[in-house]
Amino acid sequence: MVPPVKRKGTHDELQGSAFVEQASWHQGMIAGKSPFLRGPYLSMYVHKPWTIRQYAGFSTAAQSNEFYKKNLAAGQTGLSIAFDLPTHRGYDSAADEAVADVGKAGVAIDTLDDMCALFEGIDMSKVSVSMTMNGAVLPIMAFYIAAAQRQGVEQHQLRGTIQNDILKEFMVRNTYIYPPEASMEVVAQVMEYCTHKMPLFNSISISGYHLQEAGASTAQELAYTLADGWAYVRAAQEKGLSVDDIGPRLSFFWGISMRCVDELAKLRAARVLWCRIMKLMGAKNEKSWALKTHAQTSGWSLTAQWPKNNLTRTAVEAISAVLGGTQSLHTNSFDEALALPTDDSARWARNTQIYLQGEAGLTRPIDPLGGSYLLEERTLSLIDEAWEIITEIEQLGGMTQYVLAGTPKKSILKAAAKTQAQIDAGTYPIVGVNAFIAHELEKPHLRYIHLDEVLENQCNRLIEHKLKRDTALCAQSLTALKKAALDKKTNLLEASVVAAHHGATLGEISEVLVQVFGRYQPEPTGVTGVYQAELKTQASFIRSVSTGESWAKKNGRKPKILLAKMGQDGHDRGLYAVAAALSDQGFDVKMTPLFQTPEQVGYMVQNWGADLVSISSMTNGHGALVPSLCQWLKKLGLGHVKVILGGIIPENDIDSMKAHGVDLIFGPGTDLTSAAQDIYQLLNEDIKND
Amino acid sequence: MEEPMRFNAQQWKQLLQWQLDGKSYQELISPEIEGIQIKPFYDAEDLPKTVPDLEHPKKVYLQERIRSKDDQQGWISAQEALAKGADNLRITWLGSSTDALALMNKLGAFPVVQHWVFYSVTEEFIDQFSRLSPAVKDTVRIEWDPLAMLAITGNWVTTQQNDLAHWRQMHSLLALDHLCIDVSRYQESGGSIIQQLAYTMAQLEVYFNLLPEPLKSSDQVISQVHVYTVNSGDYFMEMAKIKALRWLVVSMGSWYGLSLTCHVTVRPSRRNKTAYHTTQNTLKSAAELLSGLMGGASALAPLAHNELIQSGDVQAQQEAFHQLAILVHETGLVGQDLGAGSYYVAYLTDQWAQKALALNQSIRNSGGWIKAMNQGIIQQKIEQHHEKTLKAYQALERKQPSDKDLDTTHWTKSPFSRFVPKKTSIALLPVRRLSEADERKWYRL
Repeated sequence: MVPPVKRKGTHDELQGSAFVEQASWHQGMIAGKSPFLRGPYLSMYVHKPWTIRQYAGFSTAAQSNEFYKKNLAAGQTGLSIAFDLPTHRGYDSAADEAVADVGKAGVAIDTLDDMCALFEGIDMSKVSVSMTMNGAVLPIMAFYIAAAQRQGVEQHQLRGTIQNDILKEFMVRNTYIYPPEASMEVVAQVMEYCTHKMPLFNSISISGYHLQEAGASTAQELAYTLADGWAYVRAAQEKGLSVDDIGPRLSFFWGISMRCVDELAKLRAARVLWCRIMKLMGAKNEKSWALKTHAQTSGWSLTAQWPKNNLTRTAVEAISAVLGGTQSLHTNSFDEALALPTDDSARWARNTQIYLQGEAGLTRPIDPLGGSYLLEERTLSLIDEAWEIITEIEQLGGMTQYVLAGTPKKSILKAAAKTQAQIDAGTYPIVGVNAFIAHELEKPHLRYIHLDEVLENQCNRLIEHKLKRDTALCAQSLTALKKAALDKKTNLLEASVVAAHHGATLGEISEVLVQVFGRYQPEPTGVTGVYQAELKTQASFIRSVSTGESWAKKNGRKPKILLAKMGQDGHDRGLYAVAAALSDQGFDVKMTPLFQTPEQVGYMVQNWGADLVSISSMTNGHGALVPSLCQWLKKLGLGHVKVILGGIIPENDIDSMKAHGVDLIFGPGTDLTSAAQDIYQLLNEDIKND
Repeated sequence: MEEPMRFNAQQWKQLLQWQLDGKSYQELISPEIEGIQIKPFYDAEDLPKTVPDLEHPKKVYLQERIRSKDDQQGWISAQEALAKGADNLRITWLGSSTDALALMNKLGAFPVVQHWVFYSVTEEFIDQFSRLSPAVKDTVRIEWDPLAMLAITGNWVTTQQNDLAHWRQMHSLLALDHLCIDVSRYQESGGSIIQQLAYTMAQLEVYFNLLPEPLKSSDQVISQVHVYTVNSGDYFMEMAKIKALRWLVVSMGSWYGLSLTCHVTVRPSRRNKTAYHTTQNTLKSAAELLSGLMGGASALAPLAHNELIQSGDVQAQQEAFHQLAILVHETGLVGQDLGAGSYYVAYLTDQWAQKALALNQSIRNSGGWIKAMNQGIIQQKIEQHHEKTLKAYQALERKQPSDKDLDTTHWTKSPFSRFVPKKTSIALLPVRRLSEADERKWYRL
């Protein structure tokens, strides 16, 4: 072998080239200075790491309280409260509409006493609290303030955030109560109140997370969220607040998916764009220009199959969130797709962040990927893409009008349907679901909570509460609240705090406002053709279409399937994906509006003449609602109608659902071409082979 | 868009100082980690003069590890791995190399890279391997690394002279276009990143100097170097380590007139894994593999979360394999070099490369890798670094797990290193886990 040239062992012998600055648009930008590309704060995590803020809440206030105290003792540094769906939608636990959902997707809060129990033994002056609440923001904020006052903590000491982002509710999340214009008025009044009386409290957390969960693309999530923010600032200005009054207290909330490069770029692009928007709105205070954010790892990316794979997904997403510069972070438990987290799974979720802050060394330096060609290029392209959408929205009159027109919802649904089609086509791989499929030998231990007791408990507490309060004072305060809603002379939150102290329940406060504003109930919308575009050459899709044609020929029409959402569960991404897929595979699809009762669905089946009814259940409401629907179908002489149940259905519940009359059950990750074929077989149609 | 505010490093430093309100900027500089201190920020002024011209591989393999001594058992294991979706098999062959040929031939019919690790290579194997079809041979990588075995076992396979001669003969007769080495033990024994890189270079140099002359001057003896290594700990430092490794190997090739591609397989390290709370090992492995992927690894290899305490846990092994698949197929990061252009990553990569070169030079000046190992210098240096990091680890708060978490009834093997009295010609490099001392105390073993 020819011996090497005598080496000096110096750096100059390394093969490479001189560094070439490929793009200079970002050069010289630093963290903490406009446009905040590299972070909203000068020193970022080097001085203070991001806050570990795990979103949690379930069943009763007392049980959630125990959970919070345990987490705080284990190193969590802020609280993030999840409320149950009746609470979100302004119903007390005893309401008929609430029965199926009490304590399931979060903690049930009906009264000020419940809120006090939630914070029992937790010093509200010391712990920063984030509350995910939008529709029922008034009673919840009122209870929070009043609970603090009972602890001797003044509201100007309170630190935290209230989500209060109603526009995204109309787009995707669906926990609105009042119509859009009235809801925006509520948002503005909450911002007004907090600005004057709660200087350490963020009065809004403008959220992209839910848009992403609903299927929005990165550019959509970015553009719609920032446009929402623009609308809220405008609403605050209409209340006489200056942009610099409100600016420093606005915060954002992003979802973090497995699309690593996009997520990193999104958080950077968001800061640059928000800075631009705030300057356009006249903000002079640097603190108004800087976008601060919470982030959460994607729930949608988690799978029910091989759930421990989700540990890896959450770790990857957490790394993206941190490298993107989030101020606080929630990491999902691996079993989040299946049930409420166990103590162990919650611990591992929290430990993911502790590990990243410690051993993985992700708190230093500031913005470690700064300068990356790929990242800076993607950031710039996202800025341009999102700005184009935002400009269009502004030209059409702003986000409130855009949302009212239904445009963002339709765009998101289309993107979601396309993703679902790509999953079913196998071009969007998900390990354990449509790629690298393997038989699971053992399933993890899941947490099952007997929530019927929660309902009983809450109902009893409500009865006791109503007995012990001063009825007259309570009624007076509710009258005053109604007056405030009508004449707009008193701030609604101020009036709600008074009502809270006088024992008004969450349902009563909300109902008073429903009497003034009305309760919003939109009609469903849908997309077609998107599924077909992705799968038209796939054998399984062709089979379904062919089978559908055969059925239609025999019966003179397409098979009718009614897709229903019952209870307070507003998750509809899956439902729309199913609608899109089944429409393109030969079914005549109709969707019920959200929040139906079993009785209402039964009558819809009857009136339309549906052959099948399919219920979507994502928040464990099926236990009460599905048997009730089956009974209604029998009562109406519709025993021949096939019943399908889809969503997050624990294995323990499958037999009982079938015993009640469910014919087919589909879990998360179901291939929708196989599902279509199963449904045709249910209708006694042989699947056509080529 | 309004012109953004732009600052140089000095201005950023001044702003930071002002914000810190009495604290010093120096306090934001990290204590020394892996031989360097990390500043609070990096910008264009920190970019090194030279950066590597290395593209990330467009495909990243999912490796499954197999240990076998006979054809039948090996075939069963291989089939299981293939059924999982593995497209790269690291087969540690415990039997005679000649007996491996049948399995090698069988596997040649599948779209899988076969990476064979032999303890010894017989003349018969050399003879019969040559007769395998080119299609089969194309899928095979041969790793017979007597230097790695010396480091791990403390002994040559036969003798120094015989092993090196045999290695040279094997390369010549098999006309291999690749050279495979295992350098995982440097990290798992406690070596720093700079030590890992420098000793890898030194190990490679022994082999480069043994490579036979090409038949034609226009031919290259080898075109690929495959390095099997592990990642641990600090995310960006490990990412930059892989980048530096590839840079160093390719540069080394140029010193010998070789145009090389460097393929790195990364496995999560066992050094920071624990026998308790094994789910935590999954989190660490995810970050370690991801940093390897971002550093330009060509293949990822799994480590089951409970591998220290259980053999053959099919579910855990499947989860570990799925972890690789998620990183490669769900993140969109394959072929994407996020680190290219990053001021910090470029800085780290350059630091590692420079310091490794300097350390490697001193090894060469002292007589090279073999002499350094014979004299115990490498082992001593690694142990010193291990002691230093162990001390730092033991200074952290470590809570004893609950009795439930210390249950050993499901163990099928011991996680603790065992002292096996055996004559060795040199001091070997053991696996040194940071938590082992704590575990011995807590488990009372």
